[in-house]
Amino acid sequence: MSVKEAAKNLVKLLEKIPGDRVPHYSSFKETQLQRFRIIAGLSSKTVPEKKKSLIDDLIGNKVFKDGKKNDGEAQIKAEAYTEKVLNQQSKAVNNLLNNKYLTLYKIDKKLLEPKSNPNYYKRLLKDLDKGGKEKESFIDALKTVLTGKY
Amino acid sequence: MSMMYLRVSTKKVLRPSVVVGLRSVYGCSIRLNSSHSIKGIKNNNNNNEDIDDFGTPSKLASSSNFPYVEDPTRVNKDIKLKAKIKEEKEESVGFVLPKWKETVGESLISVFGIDMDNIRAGSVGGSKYYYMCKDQGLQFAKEDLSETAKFYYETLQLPKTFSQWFQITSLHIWLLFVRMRAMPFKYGKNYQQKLVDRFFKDMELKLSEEMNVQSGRIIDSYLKDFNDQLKGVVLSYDEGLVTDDATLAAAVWRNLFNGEKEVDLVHVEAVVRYIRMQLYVLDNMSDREFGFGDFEFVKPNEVVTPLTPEQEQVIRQKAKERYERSDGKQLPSMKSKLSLDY
Repeated sequence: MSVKEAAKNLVKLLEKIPGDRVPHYSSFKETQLQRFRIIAGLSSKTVPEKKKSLIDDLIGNKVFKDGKKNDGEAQIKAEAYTEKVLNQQSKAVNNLLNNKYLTLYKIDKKLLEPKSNPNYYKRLLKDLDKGGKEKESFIDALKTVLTGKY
Repeated sequence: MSMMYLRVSTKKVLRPSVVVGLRSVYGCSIRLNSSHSIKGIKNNNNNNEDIDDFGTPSKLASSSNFPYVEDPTRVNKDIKLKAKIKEEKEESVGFVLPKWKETVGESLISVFGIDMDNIRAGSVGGSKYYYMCKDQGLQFAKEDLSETAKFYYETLQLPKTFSQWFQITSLHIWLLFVRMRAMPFKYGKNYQQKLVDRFFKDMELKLSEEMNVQSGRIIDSYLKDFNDQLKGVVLSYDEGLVTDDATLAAAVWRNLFNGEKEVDLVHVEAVVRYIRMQLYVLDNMSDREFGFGDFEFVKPNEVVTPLTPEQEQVIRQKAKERYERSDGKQLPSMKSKLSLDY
């Protein structure tokens, strides 16, 4: 297996990582995909380009310079990525995707449905699945404030 | 989303002197008694172990051949040893309370019928557990790194900065939060509150003394920023806890690894293993043991092997022997409503 193939293999695994429920400043999946796509020789055009704000336009010159510099660095580093290193990275991603540690260190209902707040994680996930966009009703919010239970 | 316990208190809280006295009583007696039963499941690094299944996180992280290229722009800010804040006398290891103070304390507890579980939140949650979290990533210039700090700064190659220390500490504080939520509401909340209060109080002190930030206004604005960060840390790790390893890894990357693009994914995996290990130990503790401060973080160069049913029984038996004496006699300070059930 050549370096490119190993990198392609890693990209395939990275694509399986679930996307973020809530948009963050930067996404683990996208950043890593972008990084290894360069090594695999794949184009990273699938990443949607962000709309530039006015401030970005104003300092556009600087952003451009920085971006170029980073690409150059990636090129130098690409030579340091050997097949062995890439396979190690793939193995790590594979372990994470297979929930190796979640199954190895299984935890009980005690932590997942905590005594003081049995609905804590359920409500949290419900909120996150909506992408943090939908707000809860006023009564629910008031209940949380008054009882302290989430 | 409101998290009520994440209040930043920058004002000094005055406590009645009785409570302060009791706090120091329990601060020390708990520290001395911290030989604990759960230690039975910690095995030291063994060379024969198959690195694939039960290697330690630090062994796993250093097994990677990832090319580490030093970033010339990276700031490594060692804190001067001279500026190091000294531990309070009552909180230092090996402090023994004079006998007469202990007697006065015990009698006050029994006369006023003080709820010791609430008092213990301060001495255990706000003192012992806080010190445990804070010491994980603590480092000073010209001082040898502790075993745990070596894992973060040498094995994982994280920068030596204040915000990195904050990230390491808040990861451990979150781990304790997860267990505190599983305590009865009244006590769990109190433990969380005391831990967070102490965290921010200490950070305020650190910023002014160790980091030499002169302006109180700037310190306040930093603290507000750290408060927001802590909310984000708790939220994202919580999400990872209940979903899957990949989500937890993303949360670890965003927070502990500062969203660094050129990250070694094996390192991220090692931290995920580390977190799940701690959660497993926390899950195998009763409220009583945890509330009395029996928990200690598993070090990154140690490994947890899942318990067999026999081992579980031995651990439970030992905990019972320690907290429920056969003759039923107990010091007033050792009374607790926290359950011994698992």
